[in-house]
Amino acid sequence: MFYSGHSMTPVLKAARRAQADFFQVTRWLSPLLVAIALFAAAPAMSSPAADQRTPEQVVSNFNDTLLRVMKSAKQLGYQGRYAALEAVMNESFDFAGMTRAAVGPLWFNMSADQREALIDAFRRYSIATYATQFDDYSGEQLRLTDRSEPGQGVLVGTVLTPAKGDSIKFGYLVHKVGSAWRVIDIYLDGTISQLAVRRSEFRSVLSRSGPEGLVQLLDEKAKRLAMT
Amino acid sequence: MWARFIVDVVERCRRGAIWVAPLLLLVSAGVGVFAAGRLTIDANVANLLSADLPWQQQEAHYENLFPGTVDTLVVVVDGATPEHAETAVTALASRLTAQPDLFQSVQQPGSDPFFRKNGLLFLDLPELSELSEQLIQAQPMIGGLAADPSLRGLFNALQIALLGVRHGDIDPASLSQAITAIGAAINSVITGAEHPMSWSEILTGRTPRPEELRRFIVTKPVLDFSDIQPGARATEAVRTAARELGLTPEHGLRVRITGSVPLNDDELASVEEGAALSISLSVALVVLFLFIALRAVRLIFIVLVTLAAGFACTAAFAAVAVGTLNVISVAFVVMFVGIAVDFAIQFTVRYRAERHRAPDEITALRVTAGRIGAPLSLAATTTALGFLSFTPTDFRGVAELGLIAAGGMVIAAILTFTLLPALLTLVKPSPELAPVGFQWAAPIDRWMVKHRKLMVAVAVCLAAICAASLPWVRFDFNPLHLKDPNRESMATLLDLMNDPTANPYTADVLAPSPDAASALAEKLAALPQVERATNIDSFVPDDQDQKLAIIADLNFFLGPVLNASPARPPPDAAELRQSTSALLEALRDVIAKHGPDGGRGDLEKALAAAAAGDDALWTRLERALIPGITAELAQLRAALSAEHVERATLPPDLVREWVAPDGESRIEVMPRGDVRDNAVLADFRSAVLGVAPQATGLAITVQASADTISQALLVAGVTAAVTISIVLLVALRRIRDAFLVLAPLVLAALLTLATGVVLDLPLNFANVITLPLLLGIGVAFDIYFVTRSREGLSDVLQSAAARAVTFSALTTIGAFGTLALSHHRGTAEMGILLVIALGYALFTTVAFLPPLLAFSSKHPNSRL
Repeated sequence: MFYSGHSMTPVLKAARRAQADFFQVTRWLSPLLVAIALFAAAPAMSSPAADQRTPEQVVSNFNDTLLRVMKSAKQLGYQGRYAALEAVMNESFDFAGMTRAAVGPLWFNMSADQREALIDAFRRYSIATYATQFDDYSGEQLRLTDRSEPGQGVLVGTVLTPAKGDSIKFGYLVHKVGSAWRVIDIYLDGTISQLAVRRSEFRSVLSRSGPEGLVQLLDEKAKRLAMT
Repeated sequence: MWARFIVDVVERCRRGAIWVAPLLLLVSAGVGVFAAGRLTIDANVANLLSADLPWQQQEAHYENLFPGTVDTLVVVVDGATPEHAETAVTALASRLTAQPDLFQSVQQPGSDPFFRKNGLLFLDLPELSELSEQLIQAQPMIGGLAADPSLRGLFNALQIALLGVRHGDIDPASLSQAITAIGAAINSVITGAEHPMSWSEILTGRTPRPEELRRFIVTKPVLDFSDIQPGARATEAVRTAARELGLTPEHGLRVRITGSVPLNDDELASVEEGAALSISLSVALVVLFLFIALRAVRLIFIVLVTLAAGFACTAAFAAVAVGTLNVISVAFVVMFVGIAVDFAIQFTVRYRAERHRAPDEITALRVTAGRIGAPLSLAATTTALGFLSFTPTDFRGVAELGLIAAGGMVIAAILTFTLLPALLTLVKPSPELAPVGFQWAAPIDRWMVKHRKLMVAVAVCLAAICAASLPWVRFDFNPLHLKDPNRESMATLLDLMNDPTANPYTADVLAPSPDAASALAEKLAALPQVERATNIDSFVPDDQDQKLAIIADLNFFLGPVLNASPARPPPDAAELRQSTSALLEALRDVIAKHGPDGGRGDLEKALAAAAAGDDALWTRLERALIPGITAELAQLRAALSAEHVERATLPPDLVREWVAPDGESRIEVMPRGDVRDNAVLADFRSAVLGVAPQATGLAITVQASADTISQALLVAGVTAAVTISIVLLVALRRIRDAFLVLAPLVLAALLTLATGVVLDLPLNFANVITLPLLLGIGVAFDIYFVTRSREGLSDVLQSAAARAVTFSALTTIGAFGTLALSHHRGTAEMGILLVIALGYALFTTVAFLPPLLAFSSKHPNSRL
């Protein structure tokens, strides 16, 4: 109920507004920003042995790429960042699983085409979000901390230490898709499931305008992000 | 011949008065003491009807297989929140379990770990899916609290939410409920009260359903049948435990007691409660009417002593004949006083009349005995027969009462012919200077004789009108309608009847095996009169695959946070102050933008006050808010571990509630509709019996007992009518006289029933006693009048007999009528109906018997 059916995008916009004083914002807002920051990607570094990586390797590879993209954000420009992120996110994230979880039970009423369209829209929107939002670097460090196995996969803890200010916790929920580990959800501050927040947002759109409406909305959002 | 015998007995007692009176009083006192030591009371209402009845045996068989369901004391706990109710009921149940001397068993329905774990599977699919979405929405809050189950975790989670509001991501209204609840909780801790708050409500945003706020403890108390309230000790133990545990309305909890045991206890208590007033008023009225009738303190003394002796002897007879009184036969006390006083009054009033005419006491007594001996014996015989008419029926409670009362009639008659004359001789009342009858009634007598045809026509018309109303005579079989609705046990039960899951009016059906029960339950559930048919397979949820999929989905979001161990050490006071001021800051930002509504202003005030308070306040806040969170998270964790349920994997205790060791399985059938409506229950019963003739359970047995009682009434009515008619024929030797005795009585009965229809006073288990009583007393009245007329006199109303009948009726009305004051509805209605019936008996006797008699009288007036 705290996160009732409202779009996540304004949160990202709020983060954007606060980006100028990234490390001065309250530590409660920064997880949101950092979460967004984490999705900024580095140039393609796709390893041929992607399927053999451990959950920690998946996460640390993504983190490394992310930092690298942030550091060269200005040179890459939006299109460059998008391309770099697309490569690493495609091999690290289970977009199909994320979309299914964010959609909920309605997923089972959808046709294969509708599902494919939704997964694609979700993927494009996610990548566009990070490509738009993460275009700066101010000396942040990322480090893996703990690991736990709650039953839904492996939760890989990460700590972000900014140049100054409090360090922030993150959790990557990594699960197996076939034989490969993929990120399925991200826990802000180690406790807030991003997909749970998305689910509330998607649910109201789906009930109003169906899968097509959601695809359209995600595409529009991605387009708007590209233009900023 | 009989009259001569009586005269002889009275004469002997007069002569030997000096030893007859003390001897009889001594014997009476002796047997009275014997009775006091021997007579016991069985307060078990189940024993009122014969145990040999097929439906009683079905019930006994059922109770034998499933002993947990009878003689129960049910504790109903209503909490302001589901958590409060749950915590309270668990604490209370463990207290009661620790007292095995008072409680044979203590059960908490639905509190089995099985339900804790698989509870979500019992929700409907749409309901579960909705709940699941709401919990997913609350994931951020749940995640924050699970990682840091402390005030700090709570305040931080709230602060994140408020940041979302400030940035327009979150609708401020969606937080109102939580903010209001948390603000109120903090405020109540600061002010020293404990305002309950529901974490499940805050986390799911869903108002708990009434049944979630209500928990039950079903106990089987150890009963002490030597106490008039056999469950009183157990009830008291529950109250004490509730008080000691602080389960009071101030703490948001309401503990009430109901169940068959407290219902019976309360019923008996309510019978007892009005009793003191009723008895004293009754005694006062009896003495008053006796005084008006007898006009002499000595005579009243004699009558009362005779009554007391008769009472002692009757009690002794009861001790020998039945040994144990039941809740109905206890009424013999009132019955005896009411009827025995009639004999004494008839005798003494007649004695006064003869004393006025006769030269001396000896002659007066002899004439009195000669005149009153036969009719009084006849009245005693017919009254006794009226009471004995219940003996062949299955209505054991009244049959025993009838036996005792019949014995009492014989005893009262014997004492009236022995002790009374002896006492009259010893005490020597003053001579009578004036005639004893109603002198003023002479014109009425004449008028009635003159207009006898009119009077008889009026009587016939009245009878016809009343007979026409007979189809509307109702018998209310529902014993609960007799109880005081303001008593806790009854008020609680009425409240529960609104709750379709707790309604006590169920049918219980046995089937030879769980499979058979399942099949039969399906058939029963298909009946339109049936709301639900529960059996062991009802605990195997439907659509489990889909439900488990929803739970797995929910677990995806909540599992990772719920199953992680709290990451941070408990906060110290400094940290709490820090997170409070951070929350306060976020809250003030939101208030600046959205205003103080939705509980925000109150929370702001409460937080500011808390921030200004001392460190001890934090400890109290933690204690008030955090255990609820921990409990709710634990419940959620358990519920997410739901697994596929099959009959074979159900917990054994649950299975035992529905399947007996020999495999016999029960089905609990709930009626559809308002069970307080007898028509609904009647329809339900016939529908269920149509499918399952072996059905028992309260909905069936209350009606079966009503049938048994109606049948008993019919049998008793016919038996009484036949035997009384035969006795009257034999004694009076004239069909016309026998008819004259019975006719006013029939009219009185018809008038009584018709009045019941008009006043909406249905017949019920308690007041049906009126009918045999009416027969017994009414017959006596008419006999006195008819025999008076056979003496060749048409001055009936002026006679001593009229005076005796009037005051005898008034005395009995006085004795019984005060029952109307009883707190027990059944007893009160019995009192009202008795007053009506006896009033009519007096009225028909006085108003219609004289004109009827005039037709057959040899008096010159009748030939006018």
